[in-house]
Amino acid sequence: MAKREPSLKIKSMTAVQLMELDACMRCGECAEWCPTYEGSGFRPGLSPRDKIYRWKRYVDKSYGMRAFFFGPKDISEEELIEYRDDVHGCTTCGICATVCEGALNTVELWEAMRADLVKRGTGPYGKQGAMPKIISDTFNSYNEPKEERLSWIPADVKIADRADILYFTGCTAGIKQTNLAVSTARVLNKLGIEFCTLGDEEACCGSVLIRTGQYYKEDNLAKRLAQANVTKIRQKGVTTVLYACAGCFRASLVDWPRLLGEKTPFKVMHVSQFLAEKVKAGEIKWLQKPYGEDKLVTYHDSCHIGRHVGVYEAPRQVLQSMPGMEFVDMERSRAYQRCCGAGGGVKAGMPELALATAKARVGDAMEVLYPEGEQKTKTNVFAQACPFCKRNLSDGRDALLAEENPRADIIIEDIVEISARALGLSNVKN
Amino acid sequence: MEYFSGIAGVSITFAVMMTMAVLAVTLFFVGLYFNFRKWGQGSLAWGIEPEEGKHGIIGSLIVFAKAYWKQLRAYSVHHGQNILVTIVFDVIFLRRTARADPLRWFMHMCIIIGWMGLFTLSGLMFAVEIPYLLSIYGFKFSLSSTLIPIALNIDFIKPEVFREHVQLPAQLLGYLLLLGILIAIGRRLFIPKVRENTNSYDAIILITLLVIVVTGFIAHAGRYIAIGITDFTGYDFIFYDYLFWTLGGQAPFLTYVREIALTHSVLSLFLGIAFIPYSKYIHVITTPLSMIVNKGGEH
Repeated sequence: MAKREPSLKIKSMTAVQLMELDACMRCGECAEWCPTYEGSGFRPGLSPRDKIYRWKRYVDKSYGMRAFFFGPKDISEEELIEYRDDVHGCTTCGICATVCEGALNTVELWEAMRADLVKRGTGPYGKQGAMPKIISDTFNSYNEPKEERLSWIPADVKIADRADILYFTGCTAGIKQTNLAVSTARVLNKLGIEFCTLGDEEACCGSVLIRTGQYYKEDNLAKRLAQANVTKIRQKGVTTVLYACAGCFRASLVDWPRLLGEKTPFKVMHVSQFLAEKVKAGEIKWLQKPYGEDKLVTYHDSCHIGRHVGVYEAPRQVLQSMPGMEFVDMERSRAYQRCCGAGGGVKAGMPELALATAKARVGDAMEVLYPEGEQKTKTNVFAQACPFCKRNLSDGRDALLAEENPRADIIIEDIVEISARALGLSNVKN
Repeated sequence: MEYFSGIAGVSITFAVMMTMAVLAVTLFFVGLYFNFRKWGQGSLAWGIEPEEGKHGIIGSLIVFAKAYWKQLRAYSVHHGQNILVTIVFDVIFLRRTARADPLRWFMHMCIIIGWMGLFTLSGLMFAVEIPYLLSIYGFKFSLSSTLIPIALNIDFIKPEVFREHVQLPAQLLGYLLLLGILIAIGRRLFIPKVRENTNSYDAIILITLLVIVVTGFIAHAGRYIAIGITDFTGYDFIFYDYLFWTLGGQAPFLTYVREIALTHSVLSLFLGIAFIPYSKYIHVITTPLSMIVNKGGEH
């Protein structure tokens, strides 16, 4: 008689990750902090603790002692589909890992669980399934023609063919939120930094594929993308690559070396780190108050630049160095920041959940920008260093304004866009 | 053969205890093996699929060991905390728990110190008892021929004397353990959020721990009674014995004292050791492993 196959075949989880499932003490600290669990109105299935326990039980049923002697125990399709929905209701922000008393690397657990569900045909979630094909065909995640990557470039911006520094634009800044790309290029020009780009040869960083468990699809697409980008960057003779997109930054720093099995042959820096270095060296002279008047500014530590890789101080140093910007931190900041709700495919797959989470985060900013009971005299600034965060937080703000919450009247801008303002530069192409 | 760790002259003989201990330890290792085997079904590293035919009875253990070593040595883009710092601050002093919730930290420390301390004292008692019992049967220990060039005649510590020496620390550790367990149970019962999220997986280890520690106290009281101590005034920290004794009444307590002692020994072995790999107790092994391999938490 043929041996029964487990309902859930482990293909993406490492041996250490399987051990980590048994290391969860179920203290519940993760559930206390999880932004989407809260955003969902505390739907039990979204609690990280619950997800780990359920997956542990699936693994026990499939590979535990009982399975060894008597064969794997079936897991119903409905149960796995429900699990898929729950595990995709996570932005992979990593707060659960930060507060985990057992030091579990939960972000990678969620990603591996998603990959295993995708491999068995249960995942991904909703529209996310179209991503690999789109990226494989167009090398960007917005299904735009390759040439569209160049459309953000204004006539006044000088981009060298080869330089020590390369600006990796990213799909979102290059195609959708072009103000960020324009600001970055103009700021670098203004500072006299010669830089090049990959132009229309730039490929998606692969972050979305990895976060949604689809990295292996389309013949190991994520690896091919990383390889293509690294090869082209190497050919340019670049020593430092700058990123204004936190997602691309994280992918280059963490995911590309893992996918390729070697360190990248260049330094990876977020633009905010680069600017902070320049500020420290006295090489930046801000020309004006970014908004023409004194503002209170707070900073949202985007997960991919903050918790995932530990860059917390550089963006603050840049903001604090600007004239007319009084910096104030939110209660939940740095490693304990609350995610904006956009990451991990949630914005694309579960927009309501993303919006609810964004509203909560805008609420955090409102607490410090317009303290309760104080008269609102000006519109203050909520800065961040990630185009996805900007988009989702803006949606959250708009939703709160639509609910007639005047305290939500906040300027939401990227730190590079604010830097451009402080240097007297325009953020828009023309 | 007498069994000093238990009650001298009763039906729990050394042979019975040894048999049970061997069985419990065997069950522990069998369970542990199946856990390692389960974990070894995973891949060696991120992005690699498990290789066909390399995750069998022995292969899975090798895969786990290799994957663990690989991750331990992996380059860290984060703080990359030193392993010694992780072991001292995160594993031993539970720094992450202390940051999150001081009460939960105190509870855990009470349980860990109590449990590990009692385990160590039991081990020491066993270490004293074994050579003593062997010497009764004519085995003479001399280290001169093996380790030390000077003739050394070991005067074995008498188990019944040693047992009295460990009474006080054992009682203190027992109290500490009991305090930790009571806090843990109290949290699960009286904090609504914690109670709502408690399932049988959580409850079973608290119940079993409570049963072990309560039977331990009763068995301990029984030992005193069995060796003829009826005046407790000279024995600090044993008011609980007195309490049990007076509450239960001497006669019925004495009737079942052997059974109670046996029950405690069996429960300690089977629930406190053998049950570890089959329950949430496994976290006493896996959580330190997780902390170490993840460099004390990378996020």
